[in-house]
Amino acid sequence: MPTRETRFLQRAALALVLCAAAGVIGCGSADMTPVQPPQPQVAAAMTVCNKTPDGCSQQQSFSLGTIRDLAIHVDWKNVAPGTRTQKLELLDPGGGSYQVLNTSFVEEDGGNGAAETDVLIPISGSMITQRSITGTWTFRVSLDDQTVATQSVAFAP
Amino acid sequence: MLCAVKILKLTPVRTRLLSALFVAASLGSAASAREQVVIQKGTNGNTQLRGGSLFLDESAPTTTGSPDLDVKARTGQRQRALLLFDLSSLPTIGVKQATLTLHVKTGSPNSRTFGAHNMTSFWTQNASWTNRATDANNLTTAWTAAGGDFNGTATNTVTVATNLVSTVSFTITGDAQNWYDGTANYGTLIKDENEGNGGTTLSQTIFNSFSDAITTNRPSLTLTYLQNVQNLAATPGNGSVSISWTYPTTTNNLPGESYAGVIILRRAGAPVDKNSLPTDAQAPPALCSTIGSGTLVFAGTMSNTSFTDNGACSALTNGTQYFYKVFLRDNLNYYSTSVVASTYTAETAAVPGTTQTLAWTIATHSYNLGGGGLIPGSQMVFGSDTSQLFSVNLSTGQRGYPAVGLGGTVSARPPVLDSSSAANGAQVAYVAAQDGNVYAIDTSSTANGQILWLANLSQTGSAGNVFMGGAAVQVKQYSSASYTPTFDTVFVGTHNSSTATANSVIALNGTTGAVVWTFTGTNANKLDMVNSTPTVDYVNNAVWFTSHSNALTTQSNLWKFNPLNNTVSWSMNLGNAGDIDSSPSLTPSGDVLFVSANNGNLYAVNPAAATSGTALLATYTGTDGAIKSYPYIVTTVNPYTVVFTTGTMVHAVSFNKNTNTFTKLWDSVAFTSPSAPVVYNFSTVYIGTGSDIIYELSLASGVVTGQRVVDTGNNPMFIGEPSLDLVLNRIYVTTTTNDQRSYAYTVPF
Repeated sequence: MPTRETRFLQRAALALVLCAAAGVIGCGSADMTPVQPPQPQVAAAMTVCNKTPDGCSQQQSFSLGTIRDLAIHVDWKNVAPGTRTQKLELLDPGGGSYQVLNTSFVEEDGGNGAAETDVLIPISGSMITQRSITGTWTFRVSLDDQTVATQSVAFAP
Repeated sequence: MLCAVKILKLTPVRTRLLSALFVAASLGSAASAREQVVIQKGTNGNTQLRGGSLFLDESAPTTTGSPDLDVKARTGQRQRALLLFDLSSLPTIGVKQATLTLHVKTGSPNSRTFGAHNMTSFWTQNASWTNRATDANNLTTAWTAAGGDFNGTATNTVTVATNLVSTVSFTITGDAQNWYDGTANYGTLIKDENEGNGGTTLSQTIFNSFSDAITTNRPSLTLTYLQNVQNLAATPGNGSVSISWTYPTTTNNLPGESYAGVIILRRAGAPVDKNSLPTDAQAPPALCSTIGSGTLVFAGTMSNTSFTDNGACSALTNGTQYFYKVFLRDNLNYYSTSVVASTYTAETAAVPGTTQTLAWTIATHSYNLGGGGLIPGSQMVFGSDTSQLFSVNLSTGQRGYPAVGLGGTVSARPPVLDSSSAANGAQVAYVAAQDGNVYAIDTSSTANGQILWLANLSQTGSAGNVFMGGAAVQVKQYSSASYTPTFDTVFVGTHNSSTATANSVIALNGTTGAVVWTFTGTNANKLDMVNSTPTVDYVNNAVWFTSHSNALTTQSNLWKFNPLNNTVSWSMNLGNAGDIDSSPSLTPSGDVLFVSANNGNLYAVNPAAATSGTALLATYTGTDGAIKSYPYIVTTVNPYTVVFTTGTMVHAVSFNKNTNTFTKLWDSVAFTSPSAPVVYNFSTVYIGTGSDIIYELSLASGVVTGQRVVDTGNNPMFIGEPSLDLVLNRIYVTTTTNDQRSYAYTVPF
């Protein structure tokens, strides 16, 4: 049978554990407030096309002989209010980071959490075309340094 | 973090136990290390040339907030502080802790939570709520998000009633480490984390700025760090490698702490991965243990300044390249690294059984194949995909100062002028970037990468311009009397994919950045994208551009401009060649201009021709598809030997101006994606490749006479265009993929 002191210490230790856990999510008053439903997860969908004077053509594979620039459109959903920064990385076939582009936007209070960004990555005249670096390249998009989505494209001769 | 918990009937024993438990729960991991310095404008002579502070004011959106740093939460009147610390005084350190401290000038009686956010866009000292930069021609560039582009997640937050404290401090260790480990330093934004909930003006706090009259009141950044060993060198022997180094001078020791020695990791065939790090506060593991991709082969004390690896842990194989990474540690076992083995963790390599010499290697954590601009024997300047400009001391391989953060990727080689040549008297690099800006940067050791001016050309002619080719400079000192400006002129051509007719060529005043003249293509004279660096012709008083031609044979791809104004002397579609991506090359006497085209042909052009009709002298029909490189002119007099690369080969031809004929000299064997060539001493050709190897070829025959394996551990890896240093007899290259380093090799191999 635990002694009174033991039970006291057990309650104190439990309180300490609960406090440590509460410190992660914010330790407020001892009042019980309603638990908020979890924020829907941020999501992003990318489309990639070859930007020319005549428009922008989406393709599965882009020829390095005719490509000009890649236009990347990102549709964001469930973005929390405030200033957010999108980081778009283009990774080469070996997984190395070829280019990094940051784009910030403001999600207004009371908004629907949706946002769109457009980024242009020059390909013609780059080392990709000059050195004919063909293969599967990957776009990786992050929001405030949290990776959200990837999209692959192929560069062919 | 303490919670309100009701504990009944506390006895002294229980109190002590609970106190211990709460203390244990709240202890952080205080980082102790060897040295600590306070970076503050005016302290210890720190001028903060590249640093500064201001605030953004929503109620005055186009005005730069000064002289203090105001932070306010009220809707429609939000104020945010911006700070950028110039870290030039500590170019090569491993950061362990970074604390940003602001001094309160006028505090708020309400408890507010302030956040320190990493900035993600380039800005200048005249930034406002709406605009992040204003250029030399008073053109503004807007933030992509009004009120500043920054990471929405705060690096650190502090809750305080600022009228009760004199300072507010933020831990920004991760951001500071990243500024040394591959991310551009755009500084920190301070804001109220409950903007819109500011109520009355009592939500405002005013902090002292960089310009405060009292030095000690200015913002400060306290860095705790370790330095790296210096003068690291590796000498190959027979089945052995000898490593030597020196220790840095220390002036900022923490009391009771001292450097204790080094540990050395070794890896065969490839550099030790940047994530292979010893663990701080832990003694070195046993010899021959592995740390990531490296093997611990040596652990020494401060009495050690060298180590001979006779096959520690495993025998060395002659002919295999071994990489060594040297970590300096202190008496508490903190190591000279940060998030990753930073750009400053010393590393070297050697190949036992050979005489191969790697002069130095440094990590850049960036991707750049465009090559560096050189002041031979002294400095190399090169850009990156991370929007940074690096400066390296060519003798030591050390960074003179941390990389300069710019507004966009730099993909081409920047021209660098020494101060005795430049009209502005500065050691200046002109950098054309993919944000559509051209930057003039003082690369000297006194200015440490200070930006002298920037010119926003992103909307010139057509909206959305970027730069893929580099800038060219006409230096007044080397020009004829017909060159009348008092300044050097900087020339750039735009890459704008949304138009095949209205791209632009722009001339800038090299001293001020003012636009001297602009040519924008018209229906009568269509100009497609310019992907190359222009060529200044001092002999014929011209500046030459190549361009795309909308893939047509009827639109111009070669342009001759008057450098003093936007007059096109003539333009033509050279050889019905279609698009041209590479730069033209001019002989020293100015009698032949060589142009290599995407159709695989090399053209010889008369640069003195008065019209395009008489310009083409001869055509060399190449093999192996498009010519990928500029024509490298080897000889200085007629007949001219020209070397160039295609998709898989290196080629050498001879052109005789007297007969206007090309003669093939040789085609090389096939390589994987050869780079543009350089030629040393009229005898050896050097190319980087996409197979981890730098090749040396005989100029006389094209036969391979030597090679250097750079890194076999990061396939596929591409090696960039070499830069040739005739003072130190070296070539320098940068690399891609997960290697992301710069290397210096002595030539000939």
